[in-house]
Amino acid sequence: MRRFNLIEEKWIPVRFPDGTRDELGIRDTLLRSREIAAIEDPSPLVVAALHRFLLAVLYRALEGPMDIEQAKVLFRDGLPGEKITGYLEKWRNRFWLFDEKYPFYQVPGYEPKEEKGKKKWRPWIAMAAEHNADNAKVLFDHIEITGAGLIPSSKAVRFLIACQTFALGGGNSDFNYTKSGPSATSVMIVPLGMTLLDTLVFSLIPENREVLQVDIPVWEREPDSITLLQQGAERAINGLADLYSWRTRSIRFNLHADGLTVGELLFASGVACSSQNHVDPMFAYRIDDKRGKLPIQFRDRGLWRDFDSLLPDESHLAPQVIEHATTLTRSERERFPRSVIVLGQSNNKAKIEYWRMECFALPEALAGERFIRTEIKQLLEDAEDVQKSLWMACRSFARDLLSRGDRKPTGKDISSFMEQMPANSWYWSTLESNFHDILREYTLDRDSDAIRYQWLKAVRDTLKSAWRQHSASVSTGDAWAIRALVKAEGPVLRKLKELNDEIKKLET
Amino acid sequence: MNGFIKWLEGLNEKDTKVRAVLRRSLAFDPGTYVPAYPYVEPFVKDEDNPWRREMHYLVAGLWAMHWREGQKGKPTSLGQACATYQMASGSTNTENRFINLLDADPDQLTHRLRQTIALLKEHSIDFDALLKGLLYWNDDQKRTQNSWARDFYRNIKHENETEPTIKEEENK
Repeated sequence: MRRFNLIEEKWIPVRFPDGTRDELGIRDTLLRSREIAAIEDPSPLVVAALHRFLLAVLYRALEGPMDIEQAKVLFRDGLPGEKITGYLEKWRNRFWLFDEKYPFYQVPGYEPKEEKGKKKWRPWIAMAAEHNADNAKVLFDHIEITGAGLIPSSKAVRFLIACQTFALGGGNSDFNYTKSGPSATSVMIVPLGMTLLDTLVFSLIPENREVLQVDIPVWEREPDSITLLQQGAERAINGLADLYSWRTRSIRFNLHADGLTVGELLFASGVACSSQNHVDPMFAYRIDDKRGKLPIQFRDRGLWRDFDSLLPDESHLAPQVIEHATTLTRSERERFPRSVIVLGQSNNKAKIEYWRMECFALPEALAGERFIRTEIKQLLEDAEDVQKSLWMACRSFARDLLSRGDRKPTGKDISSFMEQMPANSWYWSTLESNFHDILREYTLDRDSDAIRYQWLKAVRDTLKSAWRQHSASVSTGDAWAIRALVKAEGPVLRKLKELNDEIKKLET
Repeated sequence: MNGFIKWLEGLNEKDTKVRAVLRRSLAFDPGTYVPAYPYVEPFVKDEDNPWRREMHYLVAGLWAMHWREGQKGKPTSLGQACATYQMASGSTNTENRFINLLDADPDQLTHRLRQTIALLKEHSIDFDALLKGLLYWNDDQKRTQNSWARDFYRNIKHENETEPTIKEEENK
């Protein structure tokens, strides 16, 4: 019984330039990509995974791009409709969400275990990071674990794709220990064009002919056998289409009797990835002294503080998609991506801490010859350096307030005291909005000194206000608090003076 | 308030009894020693403000107690004078005494100030500034206490503390 073909059924959530929204199938999404503004879903994980899924389809349908020339043709002429339609028609049988032989992205023949004469299915929430599941709790989600109900097929397939991209490792399953998806823990970067067409072409990094030939996505493969999966399948990545459609989990939906909705599924480990150091075009990298090249991940601190890592320079650690977008738009600057979205999840020992989508203006000056990365890195370093003085002042305050004379507080006491002081987090959150303004200032003709001048003034004012607020909150305390306060302010005052001098220099 | 100390200095030049009377007044609650009235009362304008009146009497007494013939040096604020004293003495007692002074409530203020001023007999003190500070002692924002503390700690050489090294993970 075949149901819900992803090529025509409506399941990809899109927004049009006039603000209207709709859901489309794969074919319409790709063929109408010029009319579509963006893919939008409440879940950042779904948005990221859908982009990657569509890119995998494109690599196969277009059999390319193999080099930058082909990529430029795509950018100029748009996506060739016949190729896409032809490809989808050829593989039509592999895009049924429900099918005996080839259920899309699922494992056919995966049968539920029987317990006490009853087949043991799991509720659909097992695959949805955004909802409470039996082993993960989400704040403000009120879906009941035992009564999750039914979801339409369109929603089920979106969760399915997001889960295959972002599933985290850990825990036992019906088959084996589970491992994280090859790209599950890093930040994904997508430069946004004016239309979905541009967005997709920006991320369609050329792949060489040899790689393309063996780069087979999950739907073109024969489904992995249950025996193999039970033993703990593992293999290397063959190419981007393969990577973007990795089978991280073995899932099988149980179609509800109404033939439209899904309430239950089977969920177990999938195929582990044995590729070491694979390069994902949507990742930004950094060099770690000990462990070498590592992808950027979401941390406690805001990603904007590492924004320079998204910008290309000679180290080639920036996301390839940004470099590619910059190259493509060099001759057509009005199509330069105005913004870039950064999506992903933060995890701690296979527990999801949060998932997030952030949007940044992409400095227009990237399209020129300037080393914007160096300039922006300098600005961020300025901010870090200035914050050190605030941090030192706060630490000194905490230490002196706790010591009240001769007692020597422990480092832990000081740190926990500092955690409840709002000054540092206020400093960063205030500067963040200034940083977004600064990024918009980076036009081709804007002088970098003028931008730094504006930035340093913002940094100085933020430092000043952060300390003023802290002072105001404690200056009415007892003499020990006042003592701690006035003893602490030295580093801040020195830094303010330094900043004033620097700003004055830039003024002239 | 302005010129109060100048006024007392003027009286002192004409009449040696002035200082003796004012010194004696310190043994009483400020503003309750009648013989001191002629010297201070002309300066207390706001009769409805008892705090203002008391502080004038207190400062007059302290001034008289501290007065030395031919005292030299530029008058300094109380915080600064305490800092200089502490650095010269090398003991932390002065700081503790100073902290106690900053925490003084109106009842304790006279006693603690008197002790502090007694300690600073070698230092020239700006009594006008002292009076000004005392008038705002009960301000909600504790401006006086903050400014005195600032005077003290900015003029004192910081102990040989190593500034904390910043660790990346703590620097959030």
